[in-house]
Amino acid sequence: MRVLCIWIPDWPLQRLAIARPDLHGRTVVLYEASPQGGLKVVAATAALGVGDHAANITTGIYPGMPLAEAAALAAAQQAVHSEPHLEPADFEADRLALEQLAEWCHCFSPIAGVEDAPRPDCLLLDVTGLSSLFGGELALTGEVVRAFAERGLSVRVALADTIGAAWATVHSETLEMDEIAPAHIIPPGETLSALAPLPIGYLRVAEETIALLATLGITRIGQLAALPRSALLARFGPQLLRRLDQAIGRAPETIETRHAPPEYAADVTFEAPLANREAIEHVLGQLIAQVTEPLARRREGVLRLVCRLKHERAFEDRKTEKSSSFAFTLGLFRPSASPGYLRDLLRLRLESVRLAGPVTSVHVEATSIGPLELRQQAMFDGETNEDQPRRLAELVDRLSNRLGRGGVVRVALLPDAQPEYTCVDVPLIDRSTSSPPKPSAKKSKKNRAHISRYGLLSFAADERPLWLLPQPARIEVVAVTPGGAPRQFRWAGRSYAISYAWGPERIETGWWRTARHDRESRKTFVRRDYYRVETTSGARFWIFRNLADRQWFLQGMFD
Amino acid sequence: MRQCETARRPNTTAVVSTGYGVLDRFLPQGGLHRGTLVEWLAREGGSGATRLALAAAKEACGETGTLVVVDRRRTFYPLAAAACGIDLSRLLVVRPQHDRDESWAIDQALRSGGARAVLAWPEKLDDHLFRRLQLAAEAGETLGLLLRPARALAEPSWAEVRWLVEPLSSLPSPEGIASRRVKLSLLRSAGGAAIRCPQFVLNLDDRSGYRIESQNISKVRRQKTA
Repeated sequence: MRVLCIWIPDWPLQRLAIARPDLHGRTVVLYEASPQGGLKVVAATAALGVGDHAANITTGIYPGMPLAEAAALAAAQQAVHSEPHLEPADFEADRLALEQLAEWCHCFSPIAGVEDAPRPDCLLLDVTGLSSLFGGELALTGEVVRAFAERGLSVRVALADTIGAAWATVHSETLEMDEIAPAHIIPPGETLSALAPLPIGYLRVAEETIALLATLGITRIGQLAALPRSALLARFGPQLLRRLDQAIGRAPETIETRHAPPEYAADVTFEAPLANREAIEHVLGQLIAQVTEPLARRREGVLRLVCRLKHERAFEDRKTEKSSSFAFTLGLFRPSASPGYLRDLLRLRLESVRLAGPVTSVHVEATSIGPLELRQQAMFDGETNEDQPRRLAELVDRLSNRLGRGGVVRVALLPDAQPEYTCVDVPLIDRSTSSPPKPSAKKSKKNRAHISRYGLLSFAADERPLWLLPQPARIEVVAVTPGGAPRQFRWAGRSYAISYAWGPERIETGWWRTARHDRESRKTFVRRDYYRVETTSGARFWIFRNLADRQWFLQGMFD
Repeated sequence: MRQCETARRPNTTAVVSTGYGVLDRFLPQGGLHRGTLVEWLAREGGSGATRLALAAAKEACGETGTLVVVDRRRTFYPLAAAACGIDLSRLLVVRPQHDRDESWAIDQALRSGGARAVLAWPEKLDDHLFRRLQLAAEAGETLGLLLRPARALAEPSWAEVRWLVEPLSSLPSPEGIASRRVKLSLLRSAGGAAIRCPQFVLNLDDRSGYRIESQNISKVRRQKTA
């Protein structure tokens, strides 16, 4: 395998230089919120888009510096030209732009991807057997550097047998890179000898590991490779060995490539604005058919459909260049490529919408697609049970498109002792954003007895009420037995005499919630004594006494 | 009479147990029919009506069917339903915002045929809407379980079976744990037996029960027509 690693130093700045030509030549400081609090510098340059950004930090600003300090420094030096530009770093945009670049790199290799790092700034290309197409590896690297330069990006490039070796080489400062060939090529089979003199930091391992190795006097990759493997594994865990093996080609590593999905969209602009709702529905129907037709041929269907209607601009709006458009999303539980079905859903949705005015253009786009499930055609007309899953999916689509995303849910249980928090909703549509929540590992000691081997609370029938108030209601308990159980209570203007009471069941929980909701800390820590009570009429209620303030509450009915 | 009332029912609809043997024995054809509505009326909360309805829902869903709960009041507690034997992976909770959406959702869930049973608490059901739901249940061959306040006694019903649920005081038992009991009155069952309005005492915990050879049936009937 031959891997080409392309490093774009100071990628956030280089990206910004392309995206914002108006900032050229100005001092730019990118910052982020530091986990310790406050804002700190991520990257900075004295003049954006001029020369090498890394070499340009002559202003005394360095990454990790508090923003206030950096701003003062920058302002002091730049006062003559212009204000320094401060901007929060947008790592998500950086990543997306890098992924787009990877897409473009497919002109060099069919396998091109972004490095696997939290904040990537490298592209990886598998160029095995491809160099001859470009006239040798040197020519290939030169071509890549030239192509990136044309896009306004200065890059460093390295070619080696493994991803790890290419990455290490491209980052190592020992390389003497000049303007003509800022590339380094490690010939096949010479990986270990080339890496041996490099510091361990280039192995993509955690900072702590590097520091620990340094205290042991091990600073070079060559030293590390000479150590016994079993000792390394025992002392530093599997990550260090894996990285070392990946770098010298003893362990496999793959480039994750991403091919952007083709767009499924259609739009139409009217010569004269349309106000007739039926006509708009008709046009939307046609667009939906245009979008689904190529999908259906690939046996794929729509999971999410975005419709955007542009309104005619009112006169005042025209002056402010404000376009008024209106968009809505159809979410589906199961992919569908049937225009008729989607039209039905759309009609349901349009019913609840008031159009602001005549529509000038309509845009329909499938933003999420999935494979259609193959279904055997029914041999007879009779309907069978096999239809049920499909009908259920259609029901979910219809319900959630009218009632909203939270309107139709499945319920998952959490191992939480507090009754209000044991059930969580799992929306059925937009599955991309909703995975079942991970059960929290923290449980109240008191209730450990209830936790079954699945880590969830399980109860017998009538241990928990079928009717539960999300917010417990205050009640007035008139009399209490010597044992503490209630005898009589008043709720909603009625008095109930209690003939039986079971309890107390103490629920003490929520103490860990304090960290998340500082202000409500007193509310989230609960200590309650629950009683199941039966009134003289035979009705059963679930009431509790709040141990903090001795007040009584009704939380449920065993309906 | 029975022929008239059962004529419109498709032959294919299967019979579903109520979950209580003693009740099944007194229902024509031994249970509830898919594609029909069943009403459970209760005078107050905490009477055990939802638990009875869930028992029927569990029977209707079997091993694979889905139960749709239309929870307009947002008080349905799935954890307790799971304790009653409802499989949460086959439970859909629908939360409409207002009455109009609620009846629309019940209608859709009954009609689609994707669910085996639909459980809901519709407070107001006019004659027209009730009839529509009944037709929807028939079209989808879905069992509709409606839990309603006792004031619905005075309203006409399109349900095939209508129960009145009244809690009973528990009897002290030797173990000290009082077994939960309810009284059930069968107010209506289309094509039912000649004996009108039989009453039952059910033991919810072990699902046993017996029929009351009652003398004060007339009292319930008076309330029904009131």
